Amino acid sequence: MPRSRFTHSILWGCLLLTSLLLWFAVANYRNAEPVAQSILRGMSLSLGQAIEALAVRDPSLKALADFSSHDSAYFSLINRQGVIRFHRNPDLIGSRIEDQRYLPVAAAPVITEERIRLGTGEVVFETQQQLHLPSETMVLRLALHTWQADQIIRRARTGLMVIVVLLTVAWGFGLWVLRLQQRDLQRREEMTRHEQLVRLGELGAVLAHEVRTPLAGIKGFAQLLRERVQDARQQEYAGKIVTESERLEGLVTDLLTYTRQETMQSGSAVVLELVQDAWESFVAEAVQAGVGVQITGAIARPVACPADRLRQLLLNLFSNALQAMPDGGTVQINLSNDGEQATILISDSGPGFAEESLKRAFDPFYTTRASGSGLGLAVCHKIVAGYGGIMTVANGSSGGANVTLQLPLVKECA
Amino acid sequence: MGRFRSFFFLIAAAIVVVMLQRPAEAFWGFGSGGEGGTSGLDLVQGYDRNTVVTTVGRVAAAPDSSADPVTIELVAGSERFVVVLGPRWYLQDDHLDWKIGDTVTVRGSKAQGKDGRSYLLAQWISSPSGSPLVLRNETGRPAWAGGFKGGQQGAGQQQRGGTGGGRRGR
Repeated sequence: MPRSRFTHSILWGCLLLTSLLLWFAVANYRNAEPVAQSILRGMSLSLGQAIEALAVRDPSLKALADFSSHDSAYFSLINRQGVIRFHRNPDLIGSRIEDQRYLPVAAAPVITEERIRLGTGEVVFETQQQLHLPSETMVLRLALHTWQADQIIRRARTGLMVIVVLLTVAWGFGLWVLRLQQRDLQRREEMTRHEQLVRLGELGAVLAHEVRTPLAGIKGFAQLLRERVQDARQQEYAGKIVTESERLEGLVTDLLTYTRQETMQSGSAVVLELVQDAWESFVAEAVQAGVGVQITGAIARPVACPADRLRQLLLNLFSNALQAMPDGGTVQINLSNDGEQATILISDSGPGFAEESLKRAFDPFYTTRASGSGLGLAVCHKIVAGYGGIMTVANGSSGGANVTLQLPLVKECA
Repeated sequence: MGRFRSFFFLIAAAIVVVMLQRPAEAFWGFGSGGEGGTSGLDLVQGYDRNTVVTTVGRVAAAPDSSADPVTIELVAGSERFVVVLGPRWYLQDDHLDWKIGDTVTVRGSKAQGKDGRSYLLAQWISSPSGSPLVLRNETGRPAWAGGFKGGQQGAGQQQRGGTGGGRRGR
């Protein structure tokens, strides 16, 4: 299974587990209150039955004075006239009840229950139910402490909080590990790429020694042959040998440039002068292909890049632009700077980059042309990066390719 | 190292945010005034005649005059009460001479706090010197709320005032 797919599977599994745990904790918390209410209701019914049994046994209600329960806050018996016949506080016996909440229970055999706040600030569970004595029917008002029953709610709330905290910690830790893993992966990829470049460099060095020298010989003899032979057809063949030798020479040069360790050499270049100079090399080719050039803007200070490197870079880019417009067009070069960096935007009116080319533009040996080496943009990118700049490629809004170079300006002397 | 630190800061912040969802009284001990601290009760102004009891017990913890409100712990049979006398400012001139083991009689409104402890918001409490310390009138109106003069009563003295304008229970 690919690594990213495996990571996604793990993430989905963790999300599922998180949802399950949260659902369980929330459901447990939501169920806790009805459970606590049921416990209080059951307790109230049991105590009510015990009080009724005592009251029936002793209609004078004196026996109730000895009845006590840790769970009850108080209880009282109220007759239909609203007179308190019994109360846990003896001072209230015989007085009239101040509220009318007993009336519905006195009128019909219903049980009411609600949580009320007492004058002390305590919230109690109060029930009212009918209590039948042989001589009359009264209302039993019973208030229960809720702390014990509410333990269930508190535990469920604590459980919910613990699960949320643990999940937060677990996700934080997991994401941190994932980030470390991704960085490790990136580092490995960079190392592999570096190793490939080193091997490429070794290959380049071999090419330099083993191919360049005999190639120079082949080219030299072909040029000599072209001058010496009289037959036009033989001259043409010799010319082809020279052209192909030059192409091979260019390929070897590009390869050596790409594999060479780019070191920061001190030096600066005036961009406008170099742009004009580099374009001069292509004037004949541009005129033949019907390609015009427009240079706009200016850069206030020289850029911190040696002139020969910048020139090589511009030659590669202009060559690419011309090759993209065999039937004519325009190359626009816009120069600007923001105080710290110079920006060189080279736009052409060719077909632009394909989607795949945009992604792989700077990959060495990637080319869409039959005769290209695929090293031009890779070399440019390497030079720009080597001098602390940024190179990007994109397609213009009205077609064509845009290549942007950002290079640091030479620092101003104070 | 910086990454480790920011990661643990993030975790600590998440825990603090979750914990802050809890009611404030669960963190701070006894609050000042009538907040009731961890009990969730109105310890200073609260009273309910429905829950009034008179109980006799032994002092398990002498009054702490630095606490607010001032309390005594009492053991009566198998039950342990926190007897709430009143605000510190009101009792600062009284001689609270109870010692551990003293037998006292106390009348007051009983309540169970959110911390699970039983509280007795005292109306009066007997004192080793003989004269009871009256803190509220019969209806529960506290002496510190005005309208009646509380304090330690001598033999034959009448409690004055007591209009019953305090907070009433249902």
